[in-house]
Amino acid sequence: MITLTSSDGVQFDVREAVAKESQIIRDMIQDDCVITNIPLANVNHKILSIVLEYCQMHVDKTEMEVNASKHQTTTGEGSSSVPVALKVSSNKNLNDWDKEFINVDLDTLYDLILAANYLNISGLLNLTTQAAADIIKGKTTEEIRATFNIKNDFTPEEEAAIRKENPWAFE
Amino acid sequence: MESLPDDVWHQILQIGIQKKQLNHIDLCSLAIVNSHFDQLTQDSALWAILLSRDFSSSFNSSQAPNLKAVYQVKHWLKFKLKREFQREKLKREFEHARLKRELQRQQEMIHALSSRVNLAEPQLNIPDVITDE
Repeated sequence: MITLTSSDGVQFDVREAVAKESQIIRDMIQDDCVITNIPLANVNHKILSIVLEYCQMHVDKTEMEVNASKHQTTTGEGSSSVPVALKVSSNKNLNDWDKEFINVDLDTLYDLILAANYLNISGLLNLTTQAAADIIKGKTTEEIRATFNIKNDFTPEEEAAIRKENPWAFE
Repeated sequence: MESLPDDVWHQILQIGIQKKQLNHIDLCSLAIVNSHFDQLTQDSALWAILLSRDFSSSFNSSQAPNLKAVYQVKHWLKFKLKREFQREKLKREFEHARLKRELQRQQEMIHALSSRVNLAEPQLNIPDVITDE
């Protein structure tokens, strides 16, 4: 077991495999095998608990698949159809689970992207950045500004010029 | 959201383009948002993915500094070609319809003439065999 401490001092005890979903934690453990307590200065307990929920689920599912494939090799070719079906359904379930998991408000998504980036959890970073791209998709300039609360720093003349340079925005 | 580091924004746009969530129109809408996004969406690495995705052309983004402009030209040419193709197609369809009407008119004329010939034939009293004197 490894203890992860959030920026606001809350401790989480997790299995090593779950913590190792993060590339930076994996590197730390490899560098020094006696590490048992890792402080995470950039992630608060609310976000860390969500991140760990993701890691836990993905580790569990991967282990389930490994067990299923072991089962497949020990039982021989004759009965291989059962574990394959199990694997397919577990993949499908994991995608559904991811979709449900990422259905969060914008502030949480923002914190999750930063945490996934900081902890270097590639699966979570892919999932969260894709969710952000999904929010941008098909929106007009005004809708993007309103959704992300972004201030327009162009003067009216500059904006007119940049609109001319980007005619596709109005196709 | 805007305060995300540039490399994270880059990843959002890159993964969005790769997974076909975002296209050239989305990048242009973003460019007008503010100067920061204008600069983010100028990145040739992003346009290189769009060029290979939409036109199957491969560019090295480090060699070509302004792939957004390249995309713009390609897109314009494609649009122009498409319009010309459609114009040509319309012209041919029009010509086809005209020829069809012409053919029909000619057939009707032949029909009318042949019925006149049929009517006139008995009155002419042409002998079945013309014998040589």
